[in-house]
Amino acid sequence: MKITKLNFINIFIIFTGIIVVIDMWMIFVWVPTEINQGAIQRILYLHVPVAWGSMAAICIVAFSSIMYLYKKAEKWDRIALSAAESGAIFGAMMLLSGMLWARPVWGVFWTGEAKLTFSLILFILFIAYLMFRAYFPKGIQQKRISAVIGIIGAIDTPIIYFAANLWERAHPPLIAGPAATSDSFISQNIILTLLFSVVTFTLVLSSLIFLRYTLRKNEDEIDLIIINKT
Amino acid sequence: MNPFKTIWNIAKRDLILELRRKEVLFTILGFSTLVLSIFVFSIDVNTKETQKIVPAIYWSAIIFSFTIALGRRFSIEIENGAFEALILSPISKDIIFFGKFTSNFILVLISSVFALPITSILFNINILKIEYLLLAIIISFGLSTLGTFFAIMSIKVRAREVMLSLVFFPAVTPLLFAGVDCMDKIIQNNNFSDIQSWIFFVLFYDAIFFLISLLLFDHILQE
Repeated sequence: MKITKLNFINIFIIFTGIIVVIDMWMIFVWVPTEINQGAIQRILYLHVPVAWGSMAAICIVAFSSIMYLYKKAEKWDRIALSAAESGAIFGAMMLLSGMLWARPVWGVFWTGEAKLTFSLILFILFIAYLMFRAYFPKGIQQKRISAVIGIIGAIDTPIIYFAANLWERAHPPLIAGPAATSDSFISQNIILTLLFSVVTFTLVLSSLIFLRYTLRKNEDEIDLIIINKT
Repeated sequence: MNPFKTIWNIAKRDLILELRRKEVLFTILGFSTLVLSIFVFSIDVNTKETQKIVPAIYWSAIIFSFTIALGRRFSIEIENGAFEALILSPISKDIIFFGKFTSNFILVLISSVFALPITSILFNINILKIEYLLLAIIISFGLSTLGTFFAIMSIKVRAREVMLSLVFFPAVTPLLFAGVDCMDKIIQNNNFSDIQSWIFFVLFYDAIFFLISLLLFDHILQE
């Protein structure tokens, strides 16, 4: 059996794995339990990094979509697709972890708050991008239209956030719970763990994009072989 | 040829077709009336609390029915190959977009204004005000910009209607927020200054997406 070569991507993924283990140790063992919310507050160290990851992913989708329309190089389309798929996973994780956290703290799974509305629409945009891609006949036009959706989605997300904030001013959030009234105690350790988690999940996002990118490249090569044979 | 005349010709063709078939207008009006009346059946309309959700019901009805109508309208064009002929004709792509946009805009505007008295009667509230007309114009502008753009984009995709709504709804959520909040304030007899920030926001939204649609329109038509 041939041993897989230790190229850059493999080293990067192994490195990310080690960092993830350290991060999990920090989250579940090292960092002290928060006074107000108790153990449930540990969701923070997952929720904030995945939210950051999904927003970073839509930026990558937008940037590579613009580059694809400008340069017409396959590379950018592959990056956009990989970022959109990873972003959809991160978006789903963000929504799930957020709901699990909101239920004990706010007393509800979901409210019409600005950030929640925004993240839900961000997730739907990722799904729309991927579904449109999957349902469109293969070819250059598919890639071009995906790029267009990516750009419009990325421009739309900050506008939606702004609109949801404007909307909220009219309807103040009816949040009443222990966290809404008492001051949250943020220690040095919590900030450090949070920052480390953000770095970790950025690495996870990048390795997912790297992996998906190579996979996509191989898929394209197989498609080319099939076309050449027929 | 004069570009304005071309734009008007494309729009006129759509409107004449619409006058003869009465498909889009009836879809929007019929469907929105249906949605509104379902809510009348299922909630008690005379309490103060339910009156607050009337704007939400109204705008949801308009957006849902507009999406259905858009899907219908463009599927007719594809079946008969009319849209392909239009693209092949020697006119600039931007003008095609302007023309399609104009006809859609007129249709949404007419139907959203027509749906007003229906809402007014069914929910027993007075929403026939001049501020509302301004709101309907600017929101219809945004709806028809993105609607036209996405409808033309999803011409070739499988399960066209579903895909159209999947990209259209999230993109127009800001307009929905604006429409619902402004209408709520107009119903409560608030001043113009209360909805001013929303009006500016919608104008900004319309301008941005109109420009982007124009910029990207060429890309979605290239084969």
